[in-house]
Amino acid sequence: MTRVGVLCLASSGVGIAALAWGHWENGSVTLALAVLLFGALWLAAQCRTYLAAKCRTYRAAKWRWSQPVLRRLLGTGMGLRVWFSTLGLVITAAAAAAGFLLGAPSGWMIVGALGGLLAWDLTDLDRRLGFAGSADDLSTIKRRHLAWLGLAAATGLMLATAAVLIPLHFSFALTVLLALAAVLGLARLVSWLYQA
Amino acid sequence: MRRAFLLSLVIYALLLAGLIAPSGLVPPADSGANRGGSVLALSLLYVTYLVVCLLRAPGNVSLQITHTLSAERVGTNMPVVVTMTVTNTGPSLEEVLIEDDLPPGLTVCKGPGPDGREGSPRHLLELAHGKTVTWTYTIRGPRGYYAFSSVRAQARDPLGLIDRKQTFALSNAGRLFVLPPVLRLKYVAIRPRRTRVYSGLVPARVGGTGTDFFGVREYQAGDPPHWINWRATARHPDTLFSNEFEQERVTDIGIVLDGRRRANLYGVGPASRRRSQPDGTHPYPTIFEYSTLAAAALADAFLAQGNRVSLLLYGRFLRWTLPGYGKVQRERILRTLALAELGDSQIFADLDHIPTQLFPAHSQVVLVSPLLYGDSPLLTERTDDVEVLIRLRARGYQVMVISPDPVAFEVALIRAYPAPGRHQAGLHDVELAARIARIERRLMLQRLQRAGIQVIDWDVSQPFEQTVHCHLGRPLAWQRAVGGNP
Repeated sequence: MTRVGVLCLASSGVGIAALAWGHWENGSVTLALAVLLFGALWLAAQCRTYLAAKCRTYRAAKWRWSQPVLRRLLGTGMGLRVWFSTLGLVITAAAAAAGFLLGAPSGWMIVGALGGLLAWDLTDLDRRLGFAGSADDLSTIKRRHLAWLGLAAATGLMLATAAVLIPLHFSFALTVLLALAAVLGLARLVSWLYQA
Repeated sequence: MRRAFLLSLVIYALLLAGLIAPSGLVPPADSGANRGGSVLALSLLYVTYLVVCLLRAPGNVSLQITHTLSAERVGTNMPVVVTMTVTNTGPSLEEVLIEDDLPPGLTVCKGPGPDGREGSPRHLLELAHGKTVTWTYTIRGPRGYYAFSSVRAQARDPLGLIDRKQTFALSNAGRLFVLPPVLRLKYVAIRPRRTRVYSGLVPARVGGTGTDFFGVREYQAGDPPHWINWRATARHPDTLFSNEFEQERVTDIGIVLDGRRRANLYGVGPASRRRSQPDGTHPYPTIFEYSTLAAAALADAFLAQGNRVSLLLYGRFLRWTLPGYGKVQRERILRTLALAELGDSQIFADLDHIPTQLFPAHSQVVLVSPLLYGDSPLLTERTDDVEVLIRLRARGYQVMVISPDPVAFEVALIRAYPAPGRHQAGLHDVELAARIARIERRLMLQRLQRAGIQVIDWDVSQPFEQTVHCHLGRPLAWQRAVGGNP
């Protein structure tokens, strides 16, 4: 497994564990178990290549029947990992939002969402690195990616934590107004940056 | 871009959830407004990621690309080294994937290239402004013509969320001819009815200087003394007689390669599908490849004998290579054969539309085709190939047919790749069908031979050189002496 793969595995593991623990602490056992179940599938999908290689090299005849089954279950390409990471992003975000709404500890929720985001990003990095020729020097690209990812994650974490911790009370109308302004502003920002 | 869309969707969903929560749609435990605010705060995590990506989004991709091939013409499956040089003339690109658009059919060779590194047409790299990178890789492919027209570049921000794709047309577009293999044939004996005036190796049916005995005539002043036929002179004491030899000249030869798909529909059945590779390619040649091989070998042999040779590809349309001599013509013909492919056309469905005016009167015409005949379901409502060839012969052309045997080809294929579950009994049916098909084919070939058409039935499991040597090799001296020329 590559170093990016290990990082990806670690971030998804941390994210899932944080979300599950947060929900467990809050008493949402079903939600915690659902998150854990998805996490187990996600981790299996990420270890797919490693497991498939193990299956191929395992020569015991009595376990040979398991090779096609595992191949069928775990897939044979990068697609499975990408699909699971996409699902992972959506599910971790949804689980974190649900946690906030149900009153789960906000620290665990933010860490869980961040773990999902990092795992999604690193899976895509691993996929893109697969396009490279074998003679390409990828160390610069990896280093730069990790530096920018670290910066984005740290900034996002600080902003989100600050926004959660600093108590600001708005009226409903003001909240709606601010949210609409955020949506419109974000859309404008995206279009402006695209044009730039 | 799909990733950016997904991330935007997540952000908007979180914003929506943050708005809905305090409005009472989601039942809050204590303070709905605070929890909605927390969800909005959570979205900041994703917004920050998106903003970083947007700020580092790549600018316009402006590259100068040079693309060169080590050879423009090679033999089948011979390696060709592609060298690509890319210079970034635009802003720096933090991550760019550059990929050469390989024409379909070509494959990249594994292993180290000429520069000692593993070659690949695709590279992921960082390209600063003004920086130049060069790489090489090796390709090979089957017979055909391949044009390299474009290179694709995909630049991304460091996190890979925003990308810009651009395709660069190559100014010095490379082209590659993969020529069919050319078998060396020692001698191909032909006897056209009319030859050209230049001396060559084809018997001209005219007395004069030469090597083979042609007849006896009255001595003429200037005849060398060793030409005098003393036996004939002894019988006629008043007159001297001289031997006459057959002149050898060059001739016009038109090769017609049958590229009709319906005439080459062999080896495409279930057995063929069973032998296919996962990528759809076949490890063994089709029967049309054998026809192409034969046409190339014959063209080479005829040109080496000094003849004027032309080539007509008869398939989806007519591709005509004008008659010519020598190495230049050999190259033209091989390049045309590299382009040869099967095709269907309503007009050229049968051989009736071979434009005979392209071939000089009484010249040699060589047709390379598996032939459509009898009650073949592939035949149109019009004539079969045998009738057309007989008509061509009746017009005065010396016709030769080189026919790769489709029955033997198909049977060998079925034997090599039997259907799953088909055992000895099933193969017995195949043998019976093959016998019937062989008898039909033999009758068809006999019809052609009776019409004065020279027929070479080529079992493609045998080398073509061997078949040609048996049927068209130089006759032995005693055979020539008794008129045993073909």
